[in-house]
Amino acid sequence: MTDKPASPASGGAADAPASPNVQVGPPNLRWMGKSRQWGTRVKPGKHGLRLGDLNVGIYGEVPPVWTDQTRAPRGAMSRRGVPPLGYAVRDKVDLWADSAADMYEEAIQRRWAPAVDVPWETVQPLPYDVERAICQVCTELSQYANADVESVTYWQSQMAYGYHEIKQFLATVSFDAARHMEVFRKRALCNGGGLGLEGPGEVNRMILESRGGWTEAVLYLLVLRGLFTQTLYRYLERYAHSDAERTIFGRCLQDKARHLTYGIDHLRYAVNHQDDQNLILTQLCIIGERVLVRELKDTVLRGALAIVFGNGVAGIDAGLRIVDRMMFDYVSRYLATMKWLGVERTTFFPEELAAYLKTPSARSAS
Amino acid sequence: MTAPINLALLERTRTAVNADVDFRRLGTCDARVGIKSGDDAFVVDFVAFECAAVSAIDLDSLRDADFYLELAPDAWRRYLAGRASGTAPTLVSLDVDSPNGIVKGSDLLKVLKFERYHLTLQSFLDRGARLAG
Repeated sequence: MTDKPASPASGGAADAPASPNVQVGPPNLRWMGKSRQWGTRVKPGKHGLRLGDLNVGIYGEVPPVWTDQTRAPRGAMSRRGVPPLGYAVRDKVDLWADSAADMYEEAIQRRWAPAVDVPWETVQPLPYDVERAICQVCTELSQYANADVESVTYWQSQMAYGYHEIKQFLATVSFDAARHMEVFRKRALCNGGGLGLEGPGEVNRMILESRGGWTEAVLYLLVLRGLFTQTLYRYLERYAHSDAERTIFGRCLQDKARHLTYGIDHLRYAVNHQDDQNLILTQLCIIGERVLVRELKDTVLRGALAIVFGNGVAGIDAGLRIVDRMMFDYVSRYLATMKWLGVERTTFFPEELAAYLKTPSARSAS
Repeated sequence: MTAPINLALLERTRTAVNADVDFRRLGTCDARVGIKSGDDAFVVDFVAFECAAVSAIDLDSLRDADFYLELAPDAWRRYLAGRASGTAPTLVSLDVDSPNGIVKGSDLLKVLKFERYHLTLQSFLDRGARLAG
């Protein structure tokens, strides 16, 4: 700890003119000597001055457990007598990912604004069935994005301030998701259509009611659902009906890939630093996959996607084959991710999901 | 016939994008991207707001890239010509359409950089396509 004496100017404060209406004691500058590490000079590099660059000396010490229950910034001197404001998530293993600080910067650097970055003028009148379908897809995607915002902001407030990189990165995730809500709503309302039918919301409910910890929420929100959303964006970019849609889904894909990177990076950290975490994740997967299967039984999204991909009701059979291929990609990627994390996913893997790997239009047959 | 992807073209592309304000406006990109075209292999290093370096490498060194894009030489030729004329799909669409994908790599987190930065990569390749045309 450094406790340097304040500058000689501290004695001059008593000379300040007193206000007759304000009853505060005379100021002093003793706080100027309070710092755990003074003299820090971090220099900007090619990227500018990044959040992660500041992790020098004591400011870079990230403890495995954050015991402070106030909102003291990491590296600051605690003020004595501050009443605690409890945090539920105080263990590093429950939230950490090494990539978070860099991705916080990346999210800011690669930000976009739907109002001006989407070439809205390229949206042209579409056949009724196609417009209906794309509006339905946008309706459900905006619900997904809302679940992202609500889940992330709930958990953010539970996380200890000591892991500020994670809280800051998650702030960008909720802002990204708010942007996605915005852009899907704009697409639905900009071309003579409107919002469609609310989605079944079973996975959303599972995500929002997940209370087992942030790691569990990450599995459901950012990996099980996140990979699904990411796959949807890839296919919607491919089958876009205008440059505007191509821009929307291409931009959303970049954002979602960052969220997914954090999600996978965090699960890897949790598995590597906590005994039996992979077994816990296997059990959570079994539960989550069942809920996903129930939601996928709703045919609205599947039908709407088939019309978008098949370019109309007349092309729905071709569109359904593309939906099956998309699901093949999703299930393959999900299983590959779990395997990479060391999470076993053969036990009780739902037949309904496994079936996508065997459909005639699946990748292996194409 | 000149190889569709070659070091001279990549160098000219690097110079061009580094002078382009719109390229910088896409945001930071930190990725070591491999390009495989038949028996030829290259690596393109993106650091912060610029393309820092390009180099020819041997095929085995592709494993040191975060990920690499793989097409046969004729497919690269068609793709670049198509991008220059505005008829070829995006890299994401091409990846979706290809039975085994065009994006390769063994580290799942590093391969995700393709989707994190695909607009930057597209901008780089599109500039190369125009220079090659």
